[in-house]
Amino acid sequence: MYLVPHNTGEALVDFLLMTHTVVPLTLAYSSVTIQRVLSLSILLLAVLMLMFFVDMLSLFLPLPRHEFTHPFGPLTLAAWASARYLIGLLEARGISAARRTRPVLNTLWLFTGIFGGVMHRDYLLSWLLCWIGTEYLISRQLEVGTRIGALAARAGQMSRRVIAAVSAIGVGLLLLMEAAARVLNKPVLSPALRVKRFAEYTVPGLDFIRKNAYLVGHSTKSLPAGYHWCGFGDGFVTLPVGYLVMFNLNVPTLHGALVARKDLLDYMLPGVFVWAFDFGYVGAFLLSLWVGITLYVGSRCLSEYVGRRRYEFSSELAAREALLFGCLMAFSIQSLIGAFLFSRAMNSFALATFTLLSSLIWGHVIARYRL
Amino acid sequence: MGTIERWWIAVLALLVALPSAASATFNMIVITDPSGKDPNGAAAGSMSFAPNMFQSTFLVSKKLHVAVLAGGLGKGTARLEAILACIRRLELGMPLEEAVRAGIEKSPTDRLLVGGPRRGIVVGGSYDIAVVLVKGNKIIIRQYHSGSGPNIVKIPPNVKCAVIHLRNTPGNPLYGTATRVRVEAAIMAGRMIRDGLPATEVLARVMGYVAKKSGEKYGGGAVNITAGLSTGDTFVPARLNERGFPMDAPYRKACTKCGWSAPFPTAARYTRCPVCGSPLKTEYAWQVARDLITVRRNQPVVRVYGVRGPHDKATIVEIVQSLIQHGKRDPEDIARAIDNAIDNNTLLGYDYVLPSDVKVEKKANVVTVYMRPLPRGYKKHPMKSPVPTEVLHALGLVGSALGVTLIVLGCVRELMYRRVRGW
Repeated sequence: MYLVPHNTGEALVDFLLMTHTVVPLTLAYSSVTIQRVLSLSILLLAVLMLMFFVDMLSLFLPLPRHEFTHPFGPLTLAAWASARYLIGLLEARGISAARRTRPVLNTLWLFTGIFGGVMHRDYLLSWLLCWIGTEYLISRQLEVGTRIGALAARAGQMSRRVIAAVSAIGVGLLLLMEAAARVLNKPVLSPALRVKRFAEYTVPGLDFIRKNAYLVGHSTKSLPAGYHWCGFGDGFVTLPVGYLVMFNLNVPTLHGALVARKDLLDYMLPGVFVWAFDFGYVGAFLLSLWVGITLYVGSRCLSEYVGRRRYEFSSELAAREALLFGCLMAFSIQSLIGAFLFSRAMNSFALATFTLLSSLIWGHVIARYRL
Repeated sequence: MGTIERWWIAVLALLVALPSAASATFNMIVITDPSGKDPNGAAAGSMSFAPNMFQSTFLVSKKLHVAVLAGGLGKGTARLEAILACIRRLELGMPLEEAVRAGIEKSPTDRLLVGGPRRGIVVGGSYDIAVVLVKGNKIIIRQYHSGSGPNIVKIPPNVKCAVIHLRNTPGNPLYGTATRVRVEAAIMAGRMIRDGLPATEVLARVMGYVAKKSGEKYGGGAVNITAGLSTGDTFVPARLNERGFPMDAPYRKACTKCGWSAPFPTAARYTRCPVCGSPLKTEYAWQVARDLITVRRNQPVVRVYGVRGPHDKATIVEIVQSLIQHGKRDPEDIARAIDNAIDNNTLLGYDYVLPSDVKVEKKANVVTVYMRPLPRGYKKHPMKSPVPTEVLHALGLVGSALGVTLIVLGCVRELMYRRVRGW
């Protein structure tokens, strides 16, 4: 049986099928333990932090730039949220041994945020969202006092002054970035550039999509001449080109001079609109359906784990719960940013990461205790 | 490729494609820098109302820095013999006059207009020419006429000069304008040479003017004699017994901001640049010819052959130009950069480029890249694996069968457990 794709949509469906059959089965048949989840997530976080650091240097030094925050950013979120949740879980049970890893984890998390945030502003946003969301959920769910929770409570008591101070600090930071951009002559750092770009490109981009998107597929009339456009799955939403090329798939890829064309939509518009352009309005609907169902199934599985924890506490279940929590956190944040803010966070390599996270969530449907 | 072969290729193309006489009725050579130092200092061009204006009417030698323009009343084969005889003598290093005389002996009713920087200009055969000589601020224009035979007009080297031959082809709606337009063109060329414009500019403007006013407008083409650049097959007819591109017609629309351009049947649909949205500029054929033969010091001309589409061409041009801006202009560096782009999936569907596929002409500031596209449907080289493909194929089949079986078994097991639990 062959499923040979002819456009990026079919390639994505193929990839979806492959990951969603392989990863859940692997997860179901492998033993997930606390040690493994904790050590692997810390290791992953450390490696990714190093990669982000090297990538950040490329902003200032003549190094090849990879922009690792797009493909690997959600993985750092998943790794940190899993480890953090696991530690909270153990502390709630009175097992304080895992506490020793907290300084390491915090340091890694802080530096990941700094390095990734310098590279991409959208990563900084997702990092903050993940941090606040995880701490909030941990304090709510596990009834463990967290430092940030205590801070928030104290801030709530002396609210007005603190809010003023925090906003002053925020504005000051933005001004500092702007000044640094002007002085160092690096427009990448400037926050004003983002606003300008938004006004300059987003509105024409939306207009372009409104004119050209159909229910299924899109019109090729206003795309540059001289390229074989299919009108559906033309490579605006795509899996990594390296993957498509490795298997010699005859799938349209936007490469070379055409990347500029793709980036115009990719960097300036939310993913829903880009999907609506590339696959038609059906594509946007299917994307929302995919995200919605995955989030629903993931949270149902998580609540089932939580309910089960009341009766029996096994290390296997705790590890799985933490893994599910991390993946769910990362998936929801990536879909939030990618689908509603900025398509690049959910395109090419990041789309593969997104699919992987989705399959890691769906993996908990076939849990071992049920088999 | 040696010079002799280059001459020969153009001439052989003529041999293959010669049913009826192609008669260039406009020939022009301009020399504004007789010393040959300015790369844009000598140019030649050829046009006609007649069909079959292939490249044989405007040949240029890169080594000798001589252009040979041909035309006249004779039959195609006879003129070909005349051109060959002339070229042979030029290759042997004989003076221009002897070469032209030898050529004209073969076919007396044809015309040979030969010239280059440091060599002067020699005309022989059947012609109606206006000779423009510029000495200081003085412009001297003389006309010469000859029906046939070895009536040779010689212009000495070391003088800024132009030779304009113009006749009307029977059937041209503007028949009878040649005499007037020839003089007007000569005055125009004289003024421009006096004002210090480069020869390529002078030639292109005169071509545009003559095409508009006398109707002898189908290319043909133009060459830069000093640098050895040619418009090649840009304006020549695509098929036999057809006319080339009219030199006074709009050829393409180009974006002045980002460099995007489209040729004319397509370009009529665009009013703004589809890449950056800025307004487009219409370029006429004579302007395009000028751009093709003009050497620019700051930005190299990159020519790419064998690409699949305009976007791949744009990618390669960008790579090469950025490389040259960084001061790397060896064929090895350029080939390596393009191979890198192929490895990075910036360019898909091409074989790796070898240094021998990249030609760098330092004097003309031109880089030519010959790409080799892979067969249709291939975006990359097939991977070279030590395991034969049949074995991999069989392994894949076995793997899929195993996977499907496992999934089915898992489902059966799940069902069984539920049943058992239900009991």
